[in-house]
Amino acid sequence: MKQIKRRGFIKNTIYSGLGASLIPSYLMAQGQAEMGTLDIKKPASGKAKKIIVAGAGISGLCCAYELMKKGHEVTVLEASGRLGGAVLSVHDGLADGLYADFGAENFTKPGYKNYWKYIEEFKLPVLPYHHREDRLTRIDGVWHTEKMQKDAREKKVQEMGGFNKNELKFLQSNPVGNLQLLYLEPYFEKFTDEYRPFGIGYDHLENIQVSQIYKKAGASKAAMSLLGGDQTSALYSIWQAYIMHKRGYDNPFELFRLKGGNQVLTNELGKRLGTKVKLGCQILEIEHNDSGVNVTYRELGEVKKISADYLACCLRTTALKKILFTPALPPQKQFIIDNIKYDQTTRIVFQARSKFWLKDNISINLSFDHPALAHIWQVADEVDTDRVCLMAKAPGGTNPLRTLEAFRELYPGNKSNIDIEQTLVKDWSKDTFVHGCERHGFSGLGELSKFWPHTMSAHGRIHFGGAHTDNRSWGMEAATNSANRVATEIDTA
Amino acid sequence: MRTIVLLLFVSIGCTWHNLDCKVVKSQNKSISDALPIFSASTIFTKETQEKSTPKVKLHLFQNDHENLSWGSFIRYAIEVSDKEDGDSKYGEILNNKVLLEIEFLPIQDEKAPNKNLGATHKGPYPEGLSLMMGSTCFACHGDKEVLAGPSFSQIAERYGKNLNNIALLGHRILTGSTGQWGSMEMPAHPDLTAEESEKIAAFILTQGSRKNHRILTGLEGTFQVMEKPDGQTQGVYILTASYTSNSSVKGQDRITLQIQ
Repeated sequence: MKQIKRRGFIKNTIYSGLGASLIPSYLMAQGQAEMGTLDIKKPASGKAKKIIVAGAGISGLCCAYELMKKGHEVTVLEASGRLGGAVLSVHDGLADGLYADFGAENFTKPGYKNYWKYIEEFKLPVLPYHHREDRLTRIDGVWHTEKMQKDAREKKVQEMGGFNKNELKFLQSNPVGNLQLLYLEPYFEKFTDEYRPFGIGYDHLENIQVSQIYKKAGASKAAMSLLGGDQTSALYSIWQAYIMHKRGYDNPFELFRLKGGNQVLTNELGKRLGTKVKLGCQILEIEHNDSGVNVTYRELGEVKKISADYLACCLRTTALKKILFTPALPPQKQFIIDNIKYDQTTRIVFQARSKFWLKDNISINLSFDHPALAHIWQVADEVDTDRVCLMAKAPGGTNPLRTLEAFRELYPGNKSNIDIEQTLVKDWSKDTFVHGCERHGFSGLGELSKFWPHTMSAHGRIHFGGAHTDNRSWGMEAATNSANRVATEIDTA
Repeated sequence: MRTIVLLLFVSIGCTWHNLDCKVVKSQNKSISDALPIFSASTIFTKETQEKSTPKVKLHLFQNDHENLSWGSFIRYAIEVSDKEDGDSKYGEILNNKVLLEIEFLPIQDEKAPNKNLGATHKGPYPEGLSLMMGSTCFACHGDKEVLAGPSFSQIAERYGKNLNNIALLGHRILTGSTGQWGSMEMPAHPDLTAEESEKIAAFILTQGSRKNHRILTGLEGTFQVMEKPDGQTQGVYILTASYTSNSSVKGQDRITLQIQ
């Protein structure tokens, strides 16, 4: 085993209110962590491969890091001038050390197995994230507490005749949010690989509504209404429920974020890769054959070429659409590039002078029914200042000043208490290189087989990573999962 | 070369009105409603600029400079240089203001000249298209390509072009919409008027139904040449790159290629 000496670094780790059973002790203690060496293994084949990694988002960085650790020679080409892609933590323009994650915002425990691996390896401090708790939701112009919504749901269930005996028994030990498991869990036993929904006897369910599964199993009218599924493929629903079940999401899970912003992790990956990452290098063309790849890219206006044994393509499809592949990719892969859709979101940050909502004795975790404002919550609450940072979410293309106006108009407390002093914005729908956020699912009838497994399949010497290529679309989990998969594929190829 | 002309008016009234009469008329306002009234002794200056045509150059990155193959992929780049707006190589030209129009013209008789050649005119963009290029539409919608929102062709397929549908879609553009094409929300566009949003809707329905004509925005990218239509052996692709400057002057470059 070869060891490379790297510059040691010192990092303060701060623990804030996490359950001791969840978080490793060194992440909980205040103190210093140091890492001085990086283990480089021998490649699986015994011979180092030359690999180009396309994209320095979290997936590309993570994939390159894994390949480097496996003893391969990597070069990362990134079109933009920064590391991280959709992981974007902003400090500039905010007062008193406040910051905000304009991109990927949280991770969970359980789940995010590969992501947690880097948190532990790099000894990064994590913080609990309570932005979905005690939420007030505005429905048809009226603010609802979580209890009011629960009461309304229960009333509706009673009006529809209530749950049946099996459902009531199930709900004695399970939350109502898991009711679909009563009907879908019997299908789980045939799965042997969470990446293989086809070929296990359920292929025909792709064209059947999942509501038919509930109906056939005797679901009550109330349960049918609650579960819906008239437009959703049964196979897709069963598969996704199985993945969630396997990753431990059946029970309540907690949300976390990285202290200082989630970009801390991508920065750490970038630091370890050093100048192997070339920023400002936009890929224009990819030629590929049985023995390798040639990549044409532009750096400071100059067109250059680079060759390698493999390409780890960790670009989202919006970027792939602009790249010429020679020979052209097969129709199934081209369909993926042409048809995957991404959420389009505008993130708006309000800096306020105080926690003004406390004067009104209400939560600042608010959900709105306004076209220019969907949600708002507090971020960076551990920063020692009276000022606060609020993150608002709106559809892509939203003018942030209209979001502010909507907030002022609909705020459920005394409007004169609002002391917002600044607005910052990131509209992902306008980003040149990271166009959009998480990809959409493949839930429609007959849709899954058009996308899966082709979304994740390699083509010759090109292996495809990126969050959109994983089996669930949760950003940083999907990105790190796919990165590790691609690194293993190329290492063992 | 920028030309700046300083005009000095001693007697203001009619000369000022003449300069802006087009704008005033389009707003259906009287001159006195729209403009401040100056006394005859007021002295002021006005800066006007000579309008120049933007230079536009379309590059196709392929070895064969005369022919295309059915179904092949082509990479393109568009260079734009305008005396007022700047140069694309310095990042001074907005992506959503640069257009590539791709028009397919079938050739029925190899010997006969194609009567339709040159059907893509150099005139200004349709008003609906200009409004879209000035708004956020192209961030989520493509003409024939699927982005976050439905393509123009999908919209045109679902909604025929008639006054009711133009009004319906115009209203959705104006007020925002969700649930019509999946769970994605389209934001409201309160910066547009009802009339403008209907012009956009009308353009979408017209453009979406044009099977042999597509538009792409942006300074570079790729496109796929159409697959060979049944019964067709040859055709022509007319590729027109264009940019309209902030002074409303359109520059364009065109390449015509045979498809075999």
